[in-house]
Amino acid sequence: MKLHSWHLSITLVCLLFGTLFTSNLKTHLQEYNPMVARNKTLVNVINTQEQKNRELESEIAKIRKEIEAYHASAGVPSGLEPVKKDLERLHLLTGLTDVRGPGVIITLDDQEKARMAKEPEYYLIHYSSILYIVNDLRAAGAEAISVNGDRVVSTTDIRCAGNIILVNTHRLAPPYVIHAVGSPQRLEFAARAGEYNSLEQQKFPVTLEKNQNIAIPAYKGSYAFNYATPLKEGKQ
Amino acid sequence: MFKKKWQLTLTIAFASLGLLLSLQLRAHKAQVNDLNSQSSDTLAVIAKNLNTKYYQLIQEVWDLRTQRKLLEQSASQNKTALEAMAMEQQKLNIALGTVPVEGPGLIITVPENSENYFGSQDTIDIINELWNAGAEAVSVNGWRISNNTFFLPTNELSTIIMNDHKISYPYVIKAIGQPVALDKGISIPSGIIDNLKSIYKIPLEIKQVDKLGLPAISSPKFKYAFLVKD
Repeated sequence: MKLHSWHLSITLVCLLFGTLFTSNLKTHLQEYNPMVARNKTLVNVINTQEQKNRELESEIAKIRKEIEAYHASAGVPSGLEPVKKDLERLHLLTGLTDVRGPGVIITLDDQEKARMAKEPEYYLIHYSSILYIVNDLRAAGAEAISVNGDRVVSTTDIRCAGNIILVNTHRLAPPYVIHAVGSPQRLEFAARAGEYNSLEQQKFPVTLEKNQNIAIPAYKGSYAFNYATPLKEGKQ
Repeated sequence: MFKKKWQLTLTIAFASLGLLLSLQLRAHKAQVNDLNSQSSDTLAVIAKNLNTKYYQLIQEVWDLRTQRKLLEQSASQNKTALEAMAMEQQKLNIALGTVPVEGPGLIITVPENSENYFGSQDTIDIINELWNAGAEAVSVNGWRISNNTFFLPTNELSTIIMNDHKISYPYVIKAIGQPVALDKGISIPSGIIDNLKSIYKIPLEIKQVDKLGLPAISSPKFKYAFLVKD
């Protein structure tokens, strides 16, 4: 038999086809794992709880707006003007308001290889990268930071459970977009000197752009203090 | 259209290949973020964290409702309005770290050890774990942690840059919160603390205390971020 060049093409295509087909089958088979059935309950619990928390967060946002509106109206006795001013300052500094300003936008994504790799964790963005980039941005004087629209405040935790990244207990999906307001030059310099740089070196698809008008949403969560009580100076 | 039979075969083969490839990509993408493909342990952790947060959110709603009520009632009474606003002021000053605070909590000490490096990223990791475990205020070597605290490595192995100063061994991390919950929260198997202790052999000491005090820091000032009013 005479060999044509298309013989080679067909062989290659068939080979690829076969590999992909089995790998596809494998992915699908995982869905019939008995573990999955057992986990169904937990997944339901999570979905319900996420829904409830979202409702509470919008309730919090609503009341905060109402209180703000009340402060802005003539309702507050005039003698309390200084306290009102101070509260406005505190709301801004603790991340309870939407802010705008110049800064940088950083995006991080998993490597394409992660989809096919046997050990995908080497090609996935880990929570620690986000945590360390936030630290680098703070070092450059970032005044407001958000990750996928979730405001980062002092008590924010950035963690993972399995391969899911959680910020303020919210599940995030790639790509991870970090917004930071501050001096764009300083932010870029600090980012490129830190964790962002190592991701770039490891060939992760990452981008950094300076922007003169970045919007960062307010923190939607709580500040709950049940154990910490203030020590007032001059208190007996 | 197809001059030869093999052209048709090849076209069909390529078309199916493309279809399979996209299916495979989609399956993988879904898998990464799909709760259904996570282990029970992972799901249990997520569920537990959500539940803890639920109670914190309820408390915040309660606090805010009280505040709103006091404000509404106080149209003519300075006293009630002031009370509501002072409550909020106090809370936000704690969040900002601008008032010293006291309460029960946890003290983590990292003593000097010649063999193992303990650096800025370890410190960041531990603080992150403490927030997750429900810490309300944290300090490192006597400096309060705020939203602009950062840690950077130095050229020496025995120091860490914390904001504008250098800190060194022993590193003492103090956190206010429910001591048992904090201790349990940060001591999960294969967690940050567990790994530092068992893999890197860092001789960490963790102590629950009934009372500890954390100092205040001065308030930050924003130069770039400005308020968006709607």
